[in-house]
Parts: sequence; structure tokens; C-alpha cells
Amino acid sequence: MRRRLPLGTLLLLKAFLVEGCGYQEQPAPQTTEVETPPLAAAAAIDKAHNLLDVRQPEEAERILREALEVAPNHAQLNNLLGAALVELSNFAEAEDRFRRAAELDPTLADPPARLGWLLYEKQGKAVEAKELLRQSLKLDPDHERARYTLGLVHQREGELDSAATVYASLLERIPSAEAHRQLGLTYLQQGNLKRAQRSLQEAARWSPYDPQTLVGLGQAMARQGKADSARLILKGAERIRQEEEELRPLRDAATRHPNRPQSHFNLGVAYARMGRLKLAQQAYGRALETDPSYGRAYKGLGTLAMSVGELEQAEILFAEALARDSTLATAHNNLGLIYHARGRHAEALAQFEAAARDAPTQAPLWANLARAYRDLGQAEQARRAAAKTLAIDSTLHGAREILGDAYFLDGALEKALENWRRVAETTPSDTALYAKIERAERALESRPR
Amino acid sequence: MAVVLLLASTLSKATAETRFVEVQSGIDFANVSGTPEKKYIIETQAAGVTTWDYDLDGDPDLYFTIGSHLEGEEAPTNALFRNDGGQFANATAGSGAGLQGWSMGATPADYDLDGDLDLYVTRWGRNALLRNEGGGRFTEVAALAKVDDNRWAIGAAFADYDLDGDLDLYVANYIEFELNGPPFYDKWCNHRGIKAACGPAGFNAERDVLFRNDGNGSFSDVSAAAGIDDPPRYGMQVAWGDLDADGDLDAYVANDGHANSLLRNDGREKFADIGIASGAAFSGDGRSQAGMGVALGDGDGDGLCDIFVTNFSQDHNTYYENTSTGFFSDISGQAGLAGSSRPFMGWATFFFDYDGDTDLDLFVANGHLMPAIDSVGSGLRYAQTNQLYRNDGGSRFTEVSERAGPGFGLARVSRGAVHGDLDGDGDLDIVVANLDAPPSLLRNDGDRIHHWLGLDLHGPPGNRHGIGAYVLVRAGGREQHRQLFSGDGFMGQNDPRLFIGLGTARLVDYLEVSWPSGLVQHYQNLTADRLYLIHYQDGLTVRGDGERMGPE
Repeated sequence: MRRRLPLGTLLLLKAFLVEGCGYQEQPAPQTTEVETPPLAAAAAIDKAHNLLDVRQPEEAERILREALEVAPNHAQLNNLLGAALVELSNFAEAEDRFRRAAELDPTLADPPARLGWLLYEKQGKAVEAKELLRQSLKLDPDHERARYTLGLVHQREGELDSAATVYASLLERIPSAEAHRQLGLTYLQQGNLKRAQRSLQEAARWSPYDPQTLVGLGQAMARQGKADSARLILKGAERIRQEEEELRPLRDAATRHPNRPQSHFNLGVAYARMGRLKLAQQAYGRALETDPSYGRAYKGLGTLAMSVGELEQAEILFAEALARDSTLATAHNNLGLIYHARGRHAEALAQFEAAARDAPTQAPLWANLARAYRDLGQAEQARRAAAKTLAIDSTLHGAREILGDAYFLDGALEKALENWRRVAETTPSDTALYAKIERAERALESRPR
Repeated sequence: MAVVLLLASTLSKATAETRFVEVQSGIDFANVSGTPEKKYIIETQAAGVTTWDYDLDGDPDLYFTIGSHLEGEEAPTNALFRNDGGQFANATAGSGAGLQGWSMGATPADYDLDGDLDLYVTRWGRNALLRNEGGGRFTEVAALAKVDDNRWAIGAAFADYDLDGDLDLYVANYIEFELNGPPFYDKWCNHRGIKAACGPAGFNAERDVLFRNDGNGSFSDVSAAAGIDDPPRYGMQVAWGDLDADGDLDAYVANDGHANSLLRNDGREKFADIGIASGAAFSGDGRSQAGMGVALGDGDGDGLCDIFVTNFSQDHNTYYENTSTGFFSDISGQAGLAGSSRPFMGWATFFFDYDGDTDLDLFVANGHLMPAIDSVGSGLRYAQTNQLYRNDGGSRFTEVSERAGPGFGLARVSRGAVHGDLDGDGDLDIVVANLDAPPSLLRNDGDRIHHWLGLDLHGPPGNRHGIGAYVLVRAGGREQHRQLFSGDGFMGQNDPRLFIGLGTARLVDYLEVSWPSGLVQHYQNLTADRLYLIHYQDGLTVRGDGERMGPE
């Protein structure tokens, strides 16, 4: 049976997580330029591919040009240089390179595929583009990019029957979320609403966080008169679209700096905050692949485990995190919460103390410390920690209640009541708090005047 | 009957050759907008133009907006030109209309119900309202009228959305921008290898604003109550039209990089954004685009208002067909408007029947955002030619820019543009505002094989031109639907007079004018090739000869 932490505790934790993970992009390490001999063609292609994957087209271009000086008639080098040049908006030379690559090796399917896309995307030449894409598919019927692009060109040019046929054939060969989505959107444009709904639902199963898919699905529902479902789906799509905008720079950083664990970690934190736990777990995993000693990734994984009630797993992960970096205040705090939930108050207290020491400006950490002191009956320390919390953030009502509790423990009933009543103004439905207030009021009335 | 209609249609498309010729016509004005390099996004847009019959002499005068210098030199001013029979005279000096600073667009209306047209100017900085004092003089009264919004506004349009008889004002706001301020400070950005101004991505979006005219010379901000300001988006241009055919005016907002908004007026002073649900927010393949300008019009002749939105280069301009089911479909590809727009970056756009063959053609003003695009070998150019699409009927358009005369061979960095009969010959000319250059006045020198009907609507006090009025014309066996829109285009207002092509028909069999108040006027057997004044109260007059006909 999973044990879950009280919701308030998780909210507190979440508040801290949001606060604690700001990311400032670090400048790339400076390197000294050294003259290096040109790489052999195969090595250059391999390296250029990697550079394009991490969006460094300038460096890819340099390597490919050097390699082409040695092997100017190498088709794949020309083709890949074209791809790099597209990323640098040098479309004119890119076009020449793709044509040259196709001339040099007419059996390659990739150059006509890339050229077709370039001609349509940049110049709107639909007829020539389609011809090239078909040519590419004759050479390699499994060229996914060529088939998908051909579908897109048909779709955007309003040739919807052809687009649907192409996407369907792509799905037969290489199923993907994108192909399902585009087929669904094509059906939607055709007014074939039931088929659109089916394809878009399939796309959503493959890729649940794609706003384009959800918008299409919402529209398909709306056009069938299913207004309530449409509204819900479109609302979800809008939320995901906003999240995607927020994620874009983080994903970009992770792509550009794949060897920096922090870029993956930041992405993981964002995913976790958005409830995309599997993606968060994968991102933290990538951070650890990059640097197995990166304690914050263990902390992130621990927090994920904790959020789904896997406390034993979380405890292990937080311990791993702290073994690598003992100053991780969140890990101390969360470990403290686990101990606290299990009634191991002394151990919890030690963790909360460490957390507050390592991040003294984080109000929730002080609030947790105050709670631990209170639960151990240490009124004076509880009062000090609660006062510290409120000095940092006077809106943390939980801390004010603990302050009241601490005064109550010391018998200072008026002060306890004063703090509790302030909290009660903001939480009028908190019956436990009202019960405390009533008890204290009765105790105060029964005192000799 | 079908044979007759087919014949009429064939005849109407016979051999009409229209040539647009650039003429100077006295417009001694050149736009300035920062530096040639365009390091900041503010430098990339400030070139608007609007028609505006400020002297009430019956022909469209012109007002040009201008940017400024980043530092040092004295700021140039917006410019006012008086139309004297197709020749223009600079009337800026001493008029009070020569605003300095970063102006974007301008839109006219008689906001104070005194019978003449005032002008609202959107700006980076406080927006301005030029009250027409008569005699070619103006006073800036935005603060007094409570419309001195200081967010960066691009497009604005007046319309009587609450049908209380006066014109209200929607302002499309863009981004929170401060020169050398956060988040990019004085940095350049890199757009796929091209040095470019940063934004709008990365900047906070500003909320749009709706000002209700209180009828006493001032306005109230009703944005939140009306439900138009959430979420904030990168607003570029707003246009008012009856997009759901329910009799009141809805607002369509082109947003840059965000979903476009279709704000449906529920008739009770509230709006609901149905853009996404109705299919008018994204491209047909589900992407948000970089919406710039908006054209409204019945492009397919089915009586419903369609929408055309210009976008970034390497993307298509989007034609949303208003289907009979209340939804919109992106039919840009089927309409022949997709591929041809991809190399161009579109801004102002409008539907207009330039050749008088009875259906609505399309104009698109183009010009890239990044001067450095010329130097990277992209094949794309910073200065671009504008585009003209001829409507071939049945939702099909053909690009005819290359044979539309020398006016369409000019490569400029165009932004705003308006159409109007500037020379009083019954066909529609074009004025284009170009960044860092003089404007282009493209005179329509078309062959006169088609007939036309001109309508100059004179609405009740408060709605001088009858914005929102709906017109039905039957002539030569064909029915045409027009509405007097507000704000369609980009950063300006087209000639509010309606010029309707009649093809080969010499007679208008039936004309119906439905005013926003609900008043409907009918006329029959009107001779073609004339401009008719239609008064809200008094009926119809043939311009020039004073003959008056009462409504039936």
C-alpha cells in the first residue's frame, strides 16, 4: 500500500521546488581555435550529423567544407552541407548542394527529398517539390521524411485526397504521432469528422502533449456538435500550448548543451511541475547519464517518487543525492518530510535544520523546521523558526498557526489566539483551527481575573 | 438561367487588363524608422497609411505615420495630405496632425459626434486622438477622451459593437518593449543564421483594450467586462465585421505567433473568443502563424464573410473560408493562395474588386523584417514586390502581379496599405506605406470594359460612414454582398466608400442597404458608373447632379 504525504506538505514542497530551480544559461566554455586536419568523409559526416543534432550548423558547415576540399565529389558530404546551409538560411547554396549531391549519386533518396522540401518551404514551388519527393520515394519507399513532406505539400496546397493517401501509406510503413495527426487534420479539412476524430485520438495516444493534435480533436468534436467535450479538449490544448512555450527554451538548452546535466535537470523540473512525470523521469535520467555524480538529478527523481507515494524509494534517492552533494537543501527538506511522516521526529528535525541552514532565505524550509520543533514540544525554538518564516514571507499562514501553537505550548493564550484568529480570517472553513481557538478561549475565560 | 449566368460571368471576365502605375501625385513624404540595420523590433513596423476625408469634400485624403530616430536627430512627423482631384498637397504644417515619435497606424471616426472625422493614432508610447476642429486644424485630446493608452499598440478600429449609435474603439496591443531593456537589452538575436532584432518571442504580450464610447466625448475601458483581454497575445491588427451573420459586429484579431482571435459579439456587450473552436485561429495543419494583416470579405460570393490573414515568409498566408455551418476552413491551398505566398512576408491586405468583374480580388503588401536576409544567400529579399491575386470565382485565385503593371514590379519594404478611388474615376487605386522610403501610390489605369457602382454611405450622427452597414447588389444576374468593415488591412482604414464591380451590367436591378440600427433601404434600377450618396435619413442622391430618390 502506498503511503501518501498530506496534500499541504506536497504543496509546500512544490512551492519550494518552483522557487529553487531557476536556471541561468551559462556561457559556453571558451575554446582556443586550433588548426586541425580535415576529417575523412565518413568521420566528417558522422561529426556533422552530431553537430546538426545539437544545433551547431556553423561548426558542421566548417567541417563539411574542409572535407569537401579533399573530396569535392562526395555526394553525402554535399547533401549534408546543404542541410547545414538550410539551418543557416543560405538556401541558394543549399539548393546547389542538394542538386550536386543528386547528380553525383542518383541512387541517394535523401538529396531529392531535402531539395523538394526546400523548394516548397522557401519558394513555394509545389509542382517541382512534389516531383522531387516522388523521385525520392521511388529510390527509397521507406524514406519517412520524403513521404511526410509529400503529404504536407499536398495538404498545404489543398490536395486533400492525395494528402490523406500519402499519410495513410506512411502510417502503414512507419507509424508515428505526426502522421496520425496530419491524417486527422486532413480529414478535418475534408469535413470527414468521424475519421478525423479517430485519427486524432490515435495521435493523442501516441503523443498526449501535442497541442496541434488536441486543437484538431477539439475542432472535430465541435463540428460534430459535441460542444462540452470540445470545450474541455480545447481548454487542455491551450494549457499545453502555454506549457510548450515555457518548455521551448529549456528543450533548446538541453539540445544545444547535451553534455550539461543542469540543462536536462531544468527540463525535468519543468516537466515535473506540469505533471509530465514520465518525461521528467527521463530528463533526470539523461542528466545522470551525462554526469552520474549529479546529485540534483537524484533529488529530482526522489521528488518524483515522493509525489507518487513511493516513500521508500524516495528516501533512497534523497540519500543518494545528499551523498553527492550535502548542501542540497530540498533533499534535506524532503527527507525530513519523509521522516516526519513516519514519526521519526528527531531525524526529521536534523534534516530540516540542515535544509534551513543551506537555504536560509526559503520560507517553507523554516516553516517545516518550526513544525518539527512544535511536534517535539520545543516551544521556544518553534516560535523562533515560525517568526523567521513569517519575516521572509508573511503570507505563509501555516507558519502563523505554528507560531500560535508555540505560544499555546508556553501558555501565552492571548498571543496564541491573536495568531490563530489571523489565520482563521483567511481559512474560515478550517474546523480544526476553530476548535483550537474555542479551546483556548474557554481556557482563557476560566482563568482567574 | 444557368446559361445566362455562365454567359454573364464569362463576359465579365473578358479581356480586362488592369495596370497599376506608380504616380507621385504630390506626395512629398518619406518614412523614417530607426536605423537601416533594424536592431530593435520597434524599428521594423512604423509605416502606416489611412484614408481620411478630414475636410469633408467627398474625396479620400491621406495620413501617413512614421517612426523616429533612435537617438540624436530631430524626430520627423506624421504627414497629412489633402486630396485635390487626385493630386495631393501636404497639409501637415500648422495642422496639429504632425505627431512626432513612434506612430504605427491610424483610424478615423467621428468620436465626438460633431459631424467631422477625428483620427486615432496607435503608437509606441501614448496613443493619440486628433480631434478635428475644422479648417484643417487638429487638437490632441487622447487624455481628455481617456484613450491615451501607453502600451505599444499596432492596429485599432472603430465600430459600434453595442449598437448604441456611437463608435467604440478596439486597440490591438503588441509587446512590453523598452529600448535596451529586458529581456534582450541591446543584444542582437540570431534567426537561423541571420542577425535580427529580437522578438516578439521572449517578450511579454500586452493585453488588447476595448474602449466603449460613452457618447460624451470620452471613453471607458471595458476590456475585462467585455472579455477581450485574456489571455494577452501579440496583437497586430483588429478588424470588425459580422463574421457569424447574426447582425452585430464581431472582432477578428491577427496575432503574431499566437492563435488569432475571433471575438464573437453575443449582443449583450460581451465577447467570446471562438477562434480556435471555429477553425479561424490556426493554419489548417494546426500551427499558430505570425498573423499580421487581416482582410475581410465575401471572397467566394456565398454571402458570408471570409477572412484572409498575412503571415511570415516561408509560411503561407491563410484564407479562412466561412462555411455555412458556422465554422471556418483553411482553404489557402485550394484557393491558390498558399505556395505563391511562401517567399514573401505579408503585411497589409484587402479584398477589392480592382477589375470590376464582380468578384473580390486580393492585394498583399510585402517586405521582410530582417535587412540582413539579403546577405546570407537565402534567395529571400528584404525589399519585396507586392502581390495581386485575381479572383477567378469559386474560391480560386490566380496571382497576376507580374502582369498587373509596373506598380507591382517595385520591390520595397512595405507595411501598411489602403485602397480607395483617389482620382475619382470609379476604380480602386492603392497607397502603400513603405519603411524608410516614400510611399507608393499605385493608380489603377485599367481598361474600362467593366461597369461599377459607387456607394458613399452617410450614416446617422456618431457613425458618419455607416461602419457595419450591409449592402446587397443584384445586377447582370449576379448577387453581391458587401459590408463596410472597419480595420481590415494593416494599420489603416480603406476608403469607406464602397466601389462594386458590375461586370458588363449597365444597370443595378436591386440595391439593399441594411444599416446597423436595423433600418433597411431598397432601390431599383440604378444606372451604373455613378457614385451614389445614401443618407441614413434622406435616402439616395446621385453624386454631382443632385437628383434625389427617397427609399422605397
